Amino acid sequence: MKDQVLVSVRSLCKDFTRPNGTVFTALEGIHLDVYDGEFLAILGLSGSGKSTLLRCMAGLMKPDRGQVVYAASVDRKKNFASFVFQNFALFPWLTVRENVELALESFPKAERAERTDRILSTVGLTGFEDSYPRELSGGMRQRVSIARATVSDPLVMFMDEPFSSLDPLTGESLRAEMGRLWTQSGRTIRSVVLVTHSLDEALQLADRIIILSSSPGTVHKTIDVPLARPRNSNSPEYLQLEEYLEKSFGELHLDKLTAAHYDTQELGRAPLSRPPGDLDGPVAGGPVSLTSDSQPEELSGAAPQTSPSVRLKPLINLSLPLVEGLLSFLAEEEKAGGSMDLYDVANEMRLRLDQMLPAVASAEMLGYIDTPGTTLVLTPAGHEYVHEQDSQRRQILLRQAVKALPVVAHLYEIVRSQGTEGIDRSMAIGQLALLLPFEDPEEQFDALLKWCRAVNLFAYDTQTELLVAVE
Amino acid sequence: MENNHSQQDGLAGVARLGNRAGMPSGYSAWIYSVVDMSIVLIIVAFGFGVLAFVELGNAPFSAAVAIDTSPSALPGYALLSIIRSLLALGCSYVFAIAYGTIAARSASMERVLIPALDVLQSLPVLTFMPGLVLGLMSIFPNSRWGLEFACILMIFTGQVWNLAFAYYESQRSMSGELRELSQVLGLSSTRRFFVLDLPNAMRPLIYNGMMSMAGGWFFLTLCESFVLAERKYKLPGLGSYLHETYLSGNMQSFVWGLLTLVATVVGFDFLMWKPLVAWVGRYADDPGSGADHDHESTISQLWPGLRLPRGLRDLLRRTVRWWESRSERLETLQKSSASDAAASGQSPAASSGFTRSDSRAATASGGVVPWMEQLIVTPIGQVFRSSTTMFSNERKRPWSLSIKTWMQWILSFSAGALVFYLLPRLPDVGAALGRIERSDWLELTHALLMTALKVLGVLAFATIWTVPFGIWVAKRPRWSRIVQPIIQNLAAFPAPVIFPLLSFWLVGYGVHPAIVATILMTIGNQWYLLFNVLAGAGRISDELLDVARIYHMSTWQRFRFVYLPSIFPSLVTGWLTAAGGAWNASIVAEIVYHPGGVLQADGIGAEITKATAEGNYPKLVAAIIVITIALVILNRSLWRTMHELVQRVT
Repeated sequence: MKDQVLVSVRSLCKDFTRPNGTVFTALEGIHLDVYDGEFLAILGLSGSGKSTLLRCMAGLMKPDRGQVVYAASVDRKKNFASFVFQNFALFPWLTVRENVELALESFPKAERAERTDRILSTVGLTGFEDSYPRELSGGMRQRVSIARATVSDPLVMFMDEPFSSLDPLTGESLRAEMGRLWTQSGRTIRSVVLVTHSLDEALQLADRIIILSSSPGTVHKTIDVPLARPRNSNSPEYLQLEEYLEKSFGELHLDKLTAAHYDTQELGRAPLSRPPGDLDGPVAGGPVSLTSDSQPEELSGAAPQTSPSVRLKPLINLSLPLVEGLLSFLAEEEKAGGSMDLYDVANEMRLRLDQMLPAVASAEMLGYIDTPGTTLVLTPAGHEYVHEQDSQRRQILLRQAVKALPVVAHLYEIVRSQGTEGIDRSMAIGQLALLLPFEDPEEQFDALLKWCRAVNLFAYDTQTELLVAVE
Repeated sequence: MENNHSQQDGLAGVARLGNRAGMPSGYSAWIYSVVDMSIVLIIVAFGFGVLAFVELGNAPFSAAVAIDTSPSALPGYALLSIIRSLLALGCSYVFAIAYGTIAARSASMERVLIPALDVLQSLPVLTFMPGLVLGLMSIFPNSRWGLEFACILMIFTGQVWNLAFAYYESQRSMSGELRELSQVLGLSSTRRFFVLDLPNAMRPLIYNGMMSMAGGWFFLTLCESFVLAERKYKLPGLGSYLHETYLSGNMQSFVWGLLTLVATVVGFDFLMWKPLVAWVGRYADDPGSGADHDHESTISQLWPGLRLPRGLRDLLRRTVRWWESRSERLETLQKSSASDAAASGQSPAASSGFTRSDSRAATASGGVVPWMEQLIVTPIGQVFRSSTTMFSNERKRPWSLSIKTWMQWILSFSAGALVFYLLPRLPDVGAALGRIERSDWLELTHALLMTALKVLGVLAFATIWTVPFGIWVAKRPRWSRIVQPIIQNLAAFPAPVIFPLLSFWLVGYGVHPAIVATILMTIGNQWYLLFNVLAGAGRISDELLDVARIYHMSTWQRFRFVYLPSIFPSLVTGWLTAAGGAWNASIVAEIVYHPGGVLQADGIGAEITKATAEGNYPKLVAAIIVITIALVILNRSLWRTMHELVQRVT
């Protein structure tokens, strides 16, 4: 069953240009196949380029390098693909029926009405044929969208986070319904490619899960899901697979955000020592040692002499209170003996993983936590910070930790040397562009302001756009 | 006017009764038949109007038609004027859609076309007139069509610009998912236009259509009777009727004319715009965003009862289908040659442009037509070069391909036409401009500054009264329900018609002509500001108002900290539009004709009017150059600063 490939992606790369003209790579060297008869899930954080990948596969976007090849038997003109969008993409001026019939342009007239009636009753929308989308709830709108995507019996259905703009309960029920549709006997859709950031969604629906790493997006791991449908989320096999998935997903992103990709300065000074074979593309998830590189002691002191070839850690555009919240939560969990696992903490703090990860990465960058596997551990510095009761002392500790970050330290020296004059925004952005050639300097500047104003390292006047160091 | 109103109220009341459940069905059927009959009457009247219009156009050429000043001639004249402005509106929609599409699809064209809109909408209509009139008259030397078309095109220049901008905006803000969806569904570009582009733009197009119509009526008098090179031109219509009766001192007929005008404006609002606005409500994404729900049309409830006869409807539908199928065929043709081009354009050497071998290969492969197509599509083919052949053979992005192709056609043809048209004339223009004395340039610059001062005065005066009034009204929903439609009709009333009366009266009190002109310019253009203030004031956050109340802010503090910052963005938009309108209006405000005299203020508008009347084309061209330069400078400096300020504030 798995021998025929419907769509195959080969060495696909996609670049985007930032508003300021710099180019960044969203997807790099993607290889994957969509087999006939499978439900494939592509799992990644927001910003990992998974939607871009999906659009490239559906032919909506053109890859910059590499190719998307369709099986020779596929006639791309005839009902090859359909697409379910995150925000439904229903035409507000067409009724439900008209929206669905748009997918049936190539069918004979008599068949259109019949097919539409049938599909609308399948998704439970009989009686709403003549309503306009604005009269429907979010869940019903997405049902219309799914009906439109299935009515013409396409070979492949591409789904771009179809349940994420619905409220959790509706999303859940629609997901279950999608599962039922997939196992229905008369199913005509041969394959589905689903993009999602929810592990549950992928585990419930997919036959195979591809984990995508972020910036740039690469295929990190492929996991088969040999579970029987309907899937019971309490079965031991399911739980085992879930744990495995969580672990690989969490590790990948923690490594990505904290250690693996950004050489410490010592490593970075010898960029040529890397074997050339290694440059083909970051083999994410490879044996990367977790170096706790950001110990403040190592880096404090004079501004580091950086050469452009050194890859510094970029700042994370996140407000510091979230980091503080995370730290105090961890301290309490530790005291109570609760789970310090990344997923459990995210659940308890009611944060999505892609909200949680930047906070974890920031805390680790500041040297307050350590992340062996997917566990979060407070470092001694972290303990000292959390248990300090005097708010002024606390502030000083945080200030020191922020000031010790290489990028901040470097910029602080420059700004301080200018005295009360300070430097202006464009100059600071220029400096950041030199320090972090792979990042968006304006975003880095915003991050710098967020962090440094919070701990009173810099004063910034939005009118004059001048940045002044605070002693 | 009274008459008209009571009639409307009657209709509306009846309609409401008819819709109520439990009414005897015979009663409502009777109402529908009354409505049907009035619609039929209107259509019949329209038919007669069109016949008269065609007859008029076919008539042997005469510059000035004698105007019948008896009130009994009014319905006919009004009908002719209505037909002209409807035709102009139709042209405006077509042009606006084309212009907006090009500007939205091509970044390089966007940079030129969008700033050009601001300048174009501020250019007084008279600057277009001599070219239009003389050119079209030479095309139709033996009939009056030339004059008629010139008149329609002049009305068009008063209507089109904001429509073009509205369409452009709607294209820019369209949901990306819908666009991608139409790609997945493989909609042809024609189908896409009818399913996606046009419906998406429907609301802005209708709302701006109201404004455009008013803009078209604004120069009604001017467009229908004008003096060019000391020759009088008159087209039968409401505008020339008003002009004629006023100048001949026939005040009774003049008042009848005014009443007809008011009835026409109100009638348009009631019979055309209100139903249209109600109808485009279905194009709203969610019901909350339809801003005009509160004063929804009452007659629109009747429209569902009025259907096009089945045959007519089918005919329309079939026409559209036919057109679609044709364009689809055209597209496949283009596509196949595009993929050929892609195949041949794959070598990196070809990517530098039309290489010789490229075009030779194309000529070898077919006759002239494929070659032409090749020439135009090759650059597009090169875009495809990086992906596989298989990929480029597919039908992807059908619309972008064909739009690009069309744009290249349009661009090359218009550029060619422009070059061939302008080149031989350049020496003439240069010589003509050379004949203008330095003192003339100085005079024009002085006039420009005088008008600029007046425009500033218009903005200042309009701001002073509209801001407090707008805020006052917007805070009282009941009042704004009453005031809004009144203002709408006031704004649609072509103010220049009463300029002579007003200026006569003001001069009687010894007011300086420059101030009279400023007041006249204000009358027509304050509404733009008022509309924007109303819209902005409606969005003032209630929380901020509560804060102001808690801290017992004084009125001044409220203005300073709550009202003004909240409405500032709308105010800037309003200023920009009103300033454009004021520049435009200077030609009718700075020089006003009276029975047996003329009242004139210094300014570029007066200069343009005089130059046109005298046929002093070099001076007219010089005036256009001066005013264009001034508008561009204003755009680049003042308005850009304002926009930046708005972006910082919000």
